[in-house]
Amino acid sequence: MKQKYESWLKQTILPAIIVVALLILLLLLFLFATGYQRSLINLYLLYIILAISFDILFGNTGYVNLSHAAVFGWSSYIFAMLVKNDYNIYASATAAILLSLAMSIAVNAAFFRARAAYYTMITLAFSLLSYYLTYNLDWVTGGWEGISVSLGAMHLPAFYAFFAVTVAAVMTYRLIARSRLGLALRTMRESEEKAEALGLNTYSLKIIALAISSIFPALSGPLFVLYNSYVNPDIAFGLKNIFAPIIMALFGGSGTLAGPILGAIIITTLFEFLFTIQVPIRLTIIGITLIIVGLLMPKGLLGLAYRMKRSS
Amino acid sequence: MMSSAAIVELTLGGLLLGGIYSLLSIGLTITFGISKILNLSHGEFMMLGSLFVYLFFQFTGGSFNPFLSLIILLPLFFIFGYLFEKFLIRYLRSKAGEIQEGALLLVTLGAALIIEDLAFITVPREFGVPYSLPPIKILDLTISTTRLTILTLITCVTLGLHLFLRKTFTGKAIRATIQDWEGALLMGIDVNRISAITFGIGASLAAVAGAFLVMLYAVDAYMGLPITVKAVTIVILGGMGSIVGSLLGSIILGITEVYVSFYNPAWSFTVAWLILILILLIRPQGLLGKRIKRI
Repeated sequence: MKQKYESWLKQTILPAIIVVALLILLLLLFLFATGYQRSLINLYLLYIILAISFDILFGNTGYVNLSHAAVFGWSSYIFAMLVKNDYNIYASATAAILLSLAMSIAVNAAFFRARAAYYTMITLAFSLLSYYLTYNLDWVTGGWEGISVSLGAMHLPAFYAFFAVTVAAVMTYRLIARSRLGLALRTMRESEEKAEALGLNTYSLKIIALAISSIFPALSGPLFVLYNSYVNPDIAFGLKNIFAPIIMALFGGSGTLAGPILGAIIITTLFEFLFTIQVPIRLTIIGITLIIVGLLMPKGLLGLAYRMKRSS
Repeated sequence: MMSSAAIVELTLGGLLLGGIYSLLSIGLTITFGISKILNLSHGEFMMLGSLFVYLFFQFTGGSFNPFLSLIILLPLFFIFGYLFEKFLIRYLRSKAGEIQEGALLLVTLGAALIIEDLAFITVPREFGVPYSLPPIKILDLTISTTRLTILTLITCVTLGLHLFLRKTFTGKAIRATIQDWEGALLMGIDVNRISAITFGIGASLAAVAGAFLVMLYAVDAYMGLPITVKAVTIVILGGMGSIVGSLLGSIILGITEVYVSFYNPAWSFTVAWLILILILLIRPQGLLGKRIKRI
């Protein structure tokens, strides 16, 4: 019993403490940062949340849900639209979170009837549909201009909330990895037929994992709007956002806690750097990065580090 | 209320767009069937086809019939697709066991981004080929000969492909390999060669689609990725592995897009996506696909 407790302590609490300590460091940094640096830290937190929660489904089951970032988009749009019409902030945030979560579960319940690559494609098509819809429904969404809301001094509370969501995402990821649910999901990744033969209901397992992973982008939508007072189709449903979670998870090392966080930090830095200096071939640089990640680093940075450590 | 002339015009336009989509999605059906790898750079072949015809048209002084450039375009893109399979897809397929499906997606996405970016450097933001054959008049209808020629050519290519897959040895070998890779290997088919040929055919079909598209509309270098997703959605809509299904899905999509853009051009893409998603929500196995086992 004692030994079991100690191993649990070592494997669950310790990494969580390290991550929380790092996040507190970030919090302290935030307090002394200037305007641009603050929004940069916020952006890092957003992508850490997206990458980790994406990996709850992807790292455990191998299903690539490209509508993951779209949940964030819907949530921020619903929130912005409600606040714009003078509804209470807390009520609209709750409505936005619940509605986008329900939407994600409903459409994915249908999409999960398709498997592997087909599932990936349908979710990608759905994200693009969201993008075009926000463009076209310009009398409610403001078209390409997006929606600006003025909420006054909500920066610091929004940041604290972002911070709390990040911690929650990290904890949830860890808990799922160690639970029966995580074990069942990883069994499914090996072979869905065999998992079914063992008596697992793979369909409802997928839905449960998806619902848990969708909570976090749904939560971060209103927070993002609170912080930036602004949302437009490119922020919410742009191609960069659609592919960001999978790129980050794979870059760092999918299936581990530290992997997506590391990937989110490095890839966000790369994106910010490329889009600030406006070099003409920035897409080529991203493309080459993707090919290197896909071909040479199948287990991500962490896998590469492990291999190098073992060979030396 | 629409006049009958408008109905004829729009239906023809819809069939035309549907035909262009079908060239693209049939190519994707067979290449996906062979490799089982979701190739996100398929639409880039289409974009490169458009680009090739545009550049060819520019270099020949803008008076040369762009249809004649197809004679160079077809073998060129066949070789391009052949090499694409040989150097990238074959490598990915050999790694399929150890690399996750998500990583394969990243590689083809990366290839697509590189092709798009390099193409964007060479051309203006939007490009088109302003060339049209003299129109013909039947009663009070004016029918564009360019459109009619394109429609005829698309029909010929589709029928030709159908006959090729049914009657010739290589065609039968392609279908056998799609059905069962190992089985075909055991029957003495050189599956690697067949796979490369299939990608060659897929690439040249996509390039022809791009060539026709640029003769009708202005296109831009970033069209590749959205159109790839559209093609994949059409393939899923029609039912995986069903060439007739892809054809049907393409025509539904083409006609919808053209009719919607008659009323409101801004909505044409959105409504097309909406219809694709709605059909897939109701029938995830596609229109003509086999029923998926309910879990």
